[in-house]
Amino acid sequence: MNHLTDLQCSMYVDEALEHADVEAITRHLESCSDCQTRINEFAEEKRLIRVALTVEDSVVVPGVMPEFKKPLGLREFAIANVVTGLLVWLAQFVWKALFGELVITAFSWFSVPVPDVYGLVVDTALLYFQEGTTMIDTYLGFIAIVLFITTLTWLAFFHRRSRITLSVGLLIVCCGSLLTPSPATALELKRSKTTVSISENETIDDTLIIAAETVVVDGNVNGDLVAFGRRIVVNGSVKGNLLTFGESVTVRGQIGGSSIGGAQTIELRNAVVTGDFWGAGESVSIGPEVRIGRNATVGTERAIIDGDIGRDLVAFAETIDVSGSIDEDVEAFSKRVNLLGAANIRGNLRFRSGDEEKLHRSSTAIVGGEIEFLTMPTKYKAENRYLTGGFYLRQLFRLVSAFVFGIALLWLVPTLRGVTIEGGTGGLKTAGIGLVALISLPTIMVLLAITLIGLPISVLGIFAWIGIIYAAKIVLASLIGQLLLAESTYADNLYITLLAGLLTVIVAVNIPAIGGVISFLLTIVGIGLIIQSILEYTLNLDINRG
Amino acid sequence: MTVNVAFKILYKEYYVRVFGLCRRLLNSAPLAEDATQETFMRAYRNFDRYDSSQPFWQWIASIANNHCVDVLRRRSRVTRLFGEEQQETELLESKDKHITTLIADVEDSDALTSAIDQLPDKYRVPIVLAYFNDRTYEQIAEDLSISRNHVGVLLLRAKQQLRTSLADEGMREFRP
Repeated sequence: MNHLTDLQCSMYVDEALEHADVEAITRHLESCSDCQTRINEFAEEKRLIRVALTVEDSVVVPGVMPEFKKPLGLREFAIANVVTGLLVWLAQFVWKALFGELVITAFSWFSVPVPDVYGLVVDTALLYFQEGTTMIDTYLGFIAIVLFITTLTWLAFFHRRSRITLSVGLLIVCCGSLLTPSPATALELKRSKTTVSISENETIDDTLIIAAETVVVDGNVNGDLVAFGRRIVVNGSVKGNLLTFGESVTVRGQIGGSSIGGAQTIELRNAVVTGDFWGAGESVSIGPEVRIGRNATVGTERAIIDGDIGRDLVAFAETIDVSGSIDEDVEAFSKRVNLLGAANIRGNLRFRSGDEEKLHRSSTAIVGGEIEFLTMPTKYKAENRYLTGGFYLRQLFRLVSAFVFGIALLWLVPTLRGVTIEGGTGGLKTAGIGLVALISLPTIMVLLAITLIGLPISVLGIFAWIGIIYAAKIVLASLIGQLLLAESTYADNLYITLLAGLLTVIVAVNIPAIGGVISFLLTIVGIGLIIQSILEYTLNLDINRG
Repeated sequence: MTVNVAFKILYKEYYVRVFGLCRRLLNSAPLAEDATQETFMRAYRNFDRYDSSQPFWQWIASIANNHCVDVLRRRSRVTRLFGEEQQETELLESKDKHITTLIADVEDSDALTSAIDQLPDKYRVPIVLAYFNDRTYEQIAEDLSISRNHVGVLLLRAKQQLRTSLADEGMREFRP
C-alpha cells in the first residue's frame, strides 16, 4: 500500500472511513512510521481544534440572557383579535351607554308612559338609517385600523419568516377593507328627516332603500323596494319585492314580487301583488280592486279582505271581514269571522273556533268547499318526545353545534384540554366551586347592574356566565371522552375524544326522569373545572413571574 | 408541570450552548442571538414532536444547525454555499500541500480560535459541526445536503487553511 493521502489521514482520525479501509490503513501504519507520525499530527490537530472551539463559551455569551419570547402563533393571534374586538365593543358600549342614551333615557323612562310600539320601532329605525351607515362605517373602519395596527405590531416584533406570507396577506386584507368603499354599488339609499318622494317619471334601476318620515313612491323601481317611515305610500310599480315598515302603509301600485309589511295600518288599494302578501299590524285591509297572486297571510286585530287572493288566506286576527274572492282555502285563527255578501271562497273554510255562532255568514256569501270548525285543544296532549323526529334532529343540532364550539374553544384555550378531576372529595370540591360560581356570578352581576357604571361590566359578565354554562358541559365532555378512550389509539385525538364525550353527555342528559339532574350535575362540575383551570393558570403565571 | 414551565427550564439550561453553537456557525454574536431565539421558538412550536428518550441537546442542536445553515445560505451570494466537490478536491491537491507549520506548533489557542472565526463559511460550518457539535460525516452531509466525501474534503481544506493562516500569523509575529 502507498503512503496515506491527507484526506485518508483526516478521515481516519475522524473515524469516518469504511471498515475495510480502516483495516488496510491500520495494517499499513504498523509498518510505516512516517504515516503513523502524520496520523498523530492529525489527531493532535483535531484535539486542539476541539479545545479552541470549547474554550470561549462563557466569554461570548452576552451578559444578560434574553427572556424567552413565546412564538405568537395563529391561535394567539386569534385570541388577540377576539380580545381587541371585545375591548373595542366594550369601549363603544360604555361610551354610548353612559354618555349617550342611557343617562337621558334612564330619567325619561320613569315619567313617560310606554310609547306606541310602532312609533318606537319607526323612531329607532329612522335613527339607525339616518346615522346607522356612518356608525357602521366608523365601527368597521375602527376595527380595520385596530387589525391593521395589530398586524403591523405583529410583523414588527414577532414575525418569523415562516409566517411572513400570512402577515402580508392579513395586511393586504386590512388595507383593502379600509380602502374599499361601502357596498352601495347596486343599492340606492335615500335618507331624509322629512320626505323622500320618487316622482312619477322617475325610474330606479337598483334596489332602493328609503328611510324618511314620509315616503312617497310614484315612480318605478326595477329592483326591490325597502321603505321605513312613519307614512309610506307606494303608488308606482315595483318589479321586485316590497318591504315596508312604518306607522301607516298604503300600496296602490303593482308589485312584481311579494309584499311584506309591518305597520299600524296597512292598506292595499287598487294594488296588484304578483307574489305573496304578508302583513302584520293593528289593521290590515286588502281593498276591493286588489289582486294578490299567491297566498295572503295576515296577523292583525282587524283584517278586511275585499280583494282577490289567488291561493290561500291565512289570517290571525280578532275579526276577519271577507267580501272578496279567495281561490283556495281560508284558514282563520280568529275570534270572529264575517263572510259578507260578495264573499266567495272556492275552497274550504277552516275556522279555529268551537263556537259556530262566531261565524257570521251572509246569505249571498259562497263557500265552495266545506266549513270546518276546529276547537283549539285545551291542552296539547303530552307527547312521547322520544318518538318524534324533531327530538333527534334537535339533539343532532345540539351535538354538532357543541362539537364546533368545543373544537374552537379547546383550540383557543388548550389549557382546558388538560383539566382533570379527582375522585372522592376532590370531585365534590370541583362540583362545589361550580355550584358557587353558578349562583354567585349572576347575583354579583345583578348587584353591579344596579349601579349605572357597572352596567356594561354586568352585561359582559352575564354573557360570560352564559358562555361558561354552555362551555361547562363541553369541557366536561372532552374530559369524559379522554377518560373513555384513554386506552385506545385515539386518546390524543381532540376530535374523536370530544365527539365521544359529547355523545355520552347528550345521551345522559336525555335519560328520562333523571336526565335533568344529570344535566345539572354535569354543568356544575364543568363550571368547577373551568374555574379551577383558570385559577391554576393564573397561579402558574405568578410562579413564572416570580 | 406544564409544557411552559418545562420549556423555561430547558431554555435556561441550554441557552448558552445553543448560543455558542449558533455564534460559531454564523460567526456573529448579534446574528447568533437572533438565531438562538429562533431555534428555541421552533423547538417550542414542535415540542410535542420531541422524543424524550433522546438527549435534548441533540434535538435542539439539529434545529439550530438547520436554521443557521439556512441563514448562511440566504446570506451567501453564491448558489452553492459549500462549493463543488470536484473543485474543492482539486484545491486540496494543488495548494499548501506540504505546509510545515502544523497547528500543533502553535501554542496560543486564541490564535487558533480567531483563525477558525476567519475561515469562510464553507469551511467553518463543517468544522463546527464535526468538532463542536460532534456530528458524524453522515449527519453533516445531511445537514448541508452535500455528499459524505465532500464533507471529508471540506474538513481537510479547513485544516489546511488553518495551518496556512497560523503559519502566516507566526511569520508576522517573528517579524520585528
